[in-house]
Amino acid sequence: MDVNQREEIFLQLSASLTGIAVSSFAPIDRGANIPGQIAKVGDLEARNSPIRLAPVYLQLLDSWNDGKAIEEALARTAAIKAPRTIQELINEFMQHAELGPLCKSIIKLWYLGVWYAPDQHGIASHVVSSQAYVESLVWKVMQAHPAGYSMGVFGHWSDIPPSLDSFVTIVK
Amino acid sequence: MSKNETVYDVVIVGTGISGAILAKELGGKGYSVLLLEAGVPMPHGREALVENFFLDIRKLPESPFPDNKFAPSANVKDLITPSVRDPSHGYLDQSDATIPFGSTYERRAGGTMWHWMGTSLRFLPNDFRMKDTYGRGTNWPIAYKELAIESRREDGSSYYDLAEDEIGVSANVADQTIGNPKDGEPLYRSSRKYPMPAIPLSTVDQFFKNGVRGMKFDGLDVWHYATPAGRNSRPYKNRRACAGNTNCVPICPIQAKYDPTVTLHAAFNYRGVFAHFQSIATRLLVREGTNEIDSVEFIQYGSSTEKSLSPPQIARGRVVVLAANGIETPKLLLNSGIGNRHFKNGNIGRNLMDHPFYIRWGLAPEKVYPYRGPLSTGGLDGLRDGAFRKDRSAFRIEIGNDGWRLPKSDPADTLIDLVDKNVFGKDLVLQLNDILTRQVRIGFELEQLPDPNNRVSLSTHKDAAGIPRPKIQYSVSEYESKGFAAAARLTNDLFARLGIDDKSTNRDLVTTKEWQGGKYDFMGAGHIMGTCRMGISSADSVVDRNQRSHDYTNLFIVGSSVFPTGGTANPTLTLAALAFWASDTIDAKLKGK
Repeated sequence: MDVNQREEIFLQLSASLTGIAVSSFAPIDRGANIPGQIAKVGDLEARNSPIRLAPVYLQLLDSWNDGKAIEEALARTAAIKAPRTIQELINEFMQHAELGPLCKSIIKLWYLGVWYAPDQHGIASHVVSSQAYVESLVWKVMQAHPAGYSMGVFGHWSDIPPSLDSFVTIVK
Repeated sequence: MSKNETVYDVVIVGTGISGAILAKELGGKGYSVLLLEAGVPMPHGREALVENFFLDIRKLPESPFPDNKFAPSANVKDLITPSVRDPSHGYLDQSDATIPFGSTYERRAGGTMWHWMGTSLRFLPNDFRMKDTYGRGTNWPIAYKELAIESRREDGSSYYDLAEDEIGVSANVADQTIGNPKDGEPLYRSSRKYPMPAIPLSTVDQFFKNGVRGMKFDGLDVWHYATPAGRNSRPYKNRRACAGNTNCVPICPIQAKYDPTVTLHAAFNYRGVFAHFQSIATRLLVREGTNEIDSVEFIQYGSSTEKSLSPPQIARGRVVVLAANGIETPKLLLNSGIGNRHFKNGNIGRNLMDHPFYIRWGLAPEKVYPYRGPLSTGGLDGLRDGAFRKDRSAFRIEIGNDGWRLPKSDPADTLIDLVDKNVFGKDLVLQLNDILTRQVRIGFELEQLPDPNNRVSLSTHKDAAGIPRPKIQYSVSEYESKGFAAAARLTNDLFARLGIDDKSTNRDLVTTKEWQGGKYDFMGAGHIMGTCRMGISSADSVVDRNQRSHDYTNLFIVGSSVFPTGGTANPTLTLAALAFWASDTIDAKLKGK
């Protein structure tokens, strides 16, 4: 598995774990209304890549337990063949002593931008980066925006937000 | 001790809103003003502070603001550790507190209002005469109409008007006078308009507003209203309109919410206004043989990480103003009394008050879409005044737009709960969406009566600059406990009426009151009041109705430490109005009137 394939498999696994299509991992681009004050989050061009966080998250997973668990999860995901579905595979992972906690950490990374080491049982170690925070999925799933990073216009909160599927594409 | 012969017209300790208003008002009249600020100066931008918030996993009120070794302050981190009562730990010495004091503050240019909510309610007329009307607490030596109605400027502005214009409050007078005035006393000047129209109600507010139509509680009408807010509903004084970042606390990323750096910048446009930052006031020095303050002693530091304290220096002023806060101001006064015969007023530091903040939360029967808009845009009113105040605390009810962020660190906790139950994939998305879009939270801010046993004194433990840390004694009385019980009863009525599934649980906070079988978790509201209260004489108070010390003719104390009682309104607007009042008194004094 070369680096690109590895990332692709990781994204495929991530989508199935989070329930959200990879295309929705990209930040919502609402054009020019991004607050100019928040410069470190990255420029617009960089924002359009859905996979900027993937290598960062893979690096964290590689650093846990010599990277054996993530290697096994990716190898088994890559080897999956019909009629087996990835959902069945993940159900298997969830019952596994090491892969279960690993999968939960992957979900928390994408949803919160926070790294919870798989053996720490909910003890958070750190927010991965401000980019990971503002692009985390939980805000999209609640049809809102990250606290402190609205990109909305004055008064938008008095109207019902756009539908859930305008925030994320849910995997089947 | 270095000699400095410069004598300023006014020396002000503290650069929060009170100090900033005084500097701007008096600087604008041509006086020389020196501000002393213990914390760091204003930053050039707020990007780094916002970044600190993004990167702090705890998302606390102090998250954006780095710890300062030489200007430490009360903070939430100290309250959520088991060692809250260990006096060698943290900043406040809470070893003798019956219940730890839960409010915190910032020591930095602009003060704690960096992370205020923006709520800009006026007090009510009866808040100023609790003793006369209800036989509770004490009376203020001033009346509502002196702040709200009487003209103080050529255009007819009252002190409340001036404060609302300075902060930039968005509200409509008509919304604020529903049900009032019960006794015919006007709440506003007849021509009064807020500087900006009201902030639109959130979808969460609309759910409550529809639900409480016709609701009564103990015979009182309950109605929903839009909260007056120090947030822009349109561009105002070179700041943009609110974009609904849902982050008023701890930091507005676009400064649509007012903070005192706005007023400080305006003050620094006057050539007579100066400031020393990273300059910790240590003592007030009395001019021997007089009842006047000669000067403020202070020490400076170059960097908060190095040992680099300066020798004591002196700032001389014809008038000295203490504008620190309800804990730091009495601390400075009490520290000035060590080793000399001065500052023996027994009321300094006593009658510490807060608005004990009791929250309840649940799931609405329909999607209400929280986590959008300012943190709060409305509340339930009708419960801030009435004959029940003879018996129990009044309260105002804040409606949160932030789901369960306060009780559960959400949205993170709900996500983690589901994931740890092996929920993943599409189920996770749908369950999360269902829960997070239906979360509601209300909060009761209770009036707390003054009690001389609730107090700030000096700890035997010292901070890194060698200054005694504040020691706190604090509790809540039966009066407030009855208020908690009424709040709990009202919540049950309200949630039943609106079909809200109550999810409130006891959270084992260090600040929990048990009373008559009930357990009431509450938090500090950040409203530190009462420790240098105003009154008739030094027998019962520290300052007079003009906020001038009873004991020293050129010493003024401003801020919510002068409040004799706390009412139910967030104190900022009232203390800002009082700062304008103090500026007029000081102007008259300096003119020799």
